[in-house]
Amino acid sequence: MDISVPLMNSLTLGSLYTLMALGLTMSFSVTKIANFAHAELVTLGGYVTALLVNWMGFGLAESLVAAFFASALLALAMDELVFKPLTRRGSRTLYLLVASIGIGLIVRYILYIYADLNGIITIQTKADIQIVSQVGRAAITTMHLWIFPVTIISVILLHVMFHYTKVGKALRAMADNEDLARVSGIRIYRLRRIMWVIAGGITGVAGGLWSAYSVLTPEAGWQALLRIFAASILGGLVSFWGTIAGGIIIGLAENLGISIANEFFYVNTAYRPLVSFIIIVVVFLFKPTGLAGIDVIGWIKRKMGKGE
Amino acid sequence: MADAIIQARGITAGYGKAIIIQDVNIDIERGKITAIVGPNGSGKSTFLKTIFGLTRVFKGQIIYEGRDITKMLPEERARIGLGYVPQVNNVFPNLTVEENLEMGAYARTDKEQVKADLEEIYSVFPILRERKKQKAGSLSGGERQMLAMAMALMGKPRVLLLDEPAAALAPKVVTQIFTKIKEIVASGVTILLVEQHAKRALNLCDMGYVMAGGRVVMKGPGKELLADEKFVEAFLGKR
Ligand SMILES: Nc1ncnc2c1ncn2[C@@H]1O[C@H](COP(=O)(O)OP(=O)(O)OP(=O)(O)O)[C@@H](O)[C@H]1O
Ligand SMILES: [Mg+2]
Repeated sequence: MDISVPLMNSLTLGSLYTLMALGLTMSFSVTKIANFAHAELVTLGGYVTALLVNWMGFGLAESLVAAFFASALLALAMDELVFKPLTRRGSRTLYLLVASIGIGLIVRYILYIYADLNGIITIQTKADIQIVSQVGRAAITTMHLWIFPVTIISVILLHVMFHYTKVGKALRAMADNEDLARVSGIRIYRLRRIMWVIAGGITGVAGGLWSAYSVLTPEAGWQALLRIFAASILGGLVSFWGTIAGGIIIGLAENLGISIANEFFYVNTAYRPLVSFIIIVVVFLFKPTGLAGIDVIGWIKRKMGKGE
Repeated sequence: MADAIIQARGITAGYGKAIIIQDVNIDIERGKITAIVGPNGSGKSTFLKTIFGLTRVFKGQIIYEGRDITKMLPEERARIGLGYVPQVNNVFPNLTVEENLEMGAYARTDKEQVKADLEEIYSVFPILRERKKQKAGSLSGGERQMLAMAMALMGKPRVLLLDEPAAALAPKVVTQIFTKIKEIVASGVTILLVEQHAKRALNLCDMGYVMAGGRVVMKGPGKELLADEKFVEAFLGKR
């Protein structure tokens, strides 16, 4: 069995899931909202990119920047119009979750109506894709040269921001204890806006790259939402490195894992969507802190006998 | 009347729809230690939170330096000179010790002075320097309490609200913390101290208030309260 093709698909989709999940990890850790409307930030980014490239003749890079701002704006609007007012009135997290499902539904159907009127219920960004190299039977294309670096750079930038800048540290402080953050003089509403812009923006870029990789519909983000949550949950919902690992694991399990299961155990590939669901259930049952709760370095130290 | 830096005037406050403290009048005198004592659940912590804007105020005003701050956001109160060490959850567990101290100084713009103050804090609390790269969540109870106090001091407050800073700590650490409190006052900071251990607090303070059932039931200079038979019988009798 040649695994180069499913492996390549796994890594590509894994990177895309990671990029889609980073914003979810970020907004969840700071606001504690399980935002189901996160899906629509992906879809909007995808449509904006595709429309700008296909209709307006923009380059992919400029279109991705536009997708960043479009989804950033949508994320900000969701918070200012719905989440923030509800939180200020002391809404429980369950109500916020239900509200997010509602927002998602509204945005999704607005997109649907727009797409229907313009005959773009399915759309793909017409990027100029060339094969640059071959690994086994799998081709490495210019698309991969976009997806991998953007994902890696995003994670590094987020890591640097959250650990080495004042705003980033304050966001982590807010994630830990919002009242104590306020007591320290941290202007939480301003920080929250910055957070939504970045989280929404990255998610829009993820959608944009995805639209160049495969065909999207107004439901695309919604259909990927379970995977996005799975990646984020696997990462423990708070850690960016955990989210990368989560994204790649979901990518591998859904593609390579299913191919292997199909080859050797005749498992129907139609079960693919179940993979993320099973992963979520298993993580919640056995390791609710996800990968972030696993002390890898401590484990290596113990194994090497230097343990503290 | 004495010079009060903060006045609570007829405060009725609580959480959501629940009223916890009622008609509380407390003056915090400039440059002095004011203590609030009282049994569990009498609303001491709720009163401190109210001064910082973390509860719902139904009636009354908080006056700071002659200005009504009842409606001001907590983060803005921190920026005009109020400092607060909560009773629980008073450090950021996932931030390192050093990051916690940086957050304490978040609103300050005098970067050079902040650095100097950080050094000073480390020399006063050497254990914090040793642990500066460690997550605050991994500290022991005493270390955590030191960090919480150090964080508040990094904000250079003019009034410091301390909620049971010595609860559940070893006697040696308690002495350290109380010594520190005296030093803080000597440096010109006003202190409002909440304590369960009434004797300890009333011996230290200039003015003492006794809360019970969400109301102030007695007040007076600390030593006088300790000498007052009615007070001793009601609140210290069983000790
Ligand atoms: N966040 C909250 N929401 C609702 N009720 C609360 C909250 N915090 C405290 N209470 C209630 O308010 C009352 C007073 O609590 P508070 O913590 O102010 O008392 P305290 O005097 O500080 O007690 P202790 O000595 O135990 O610290 C208690 O009945 C408590 O259950
Ligand atoms: Mg208390």
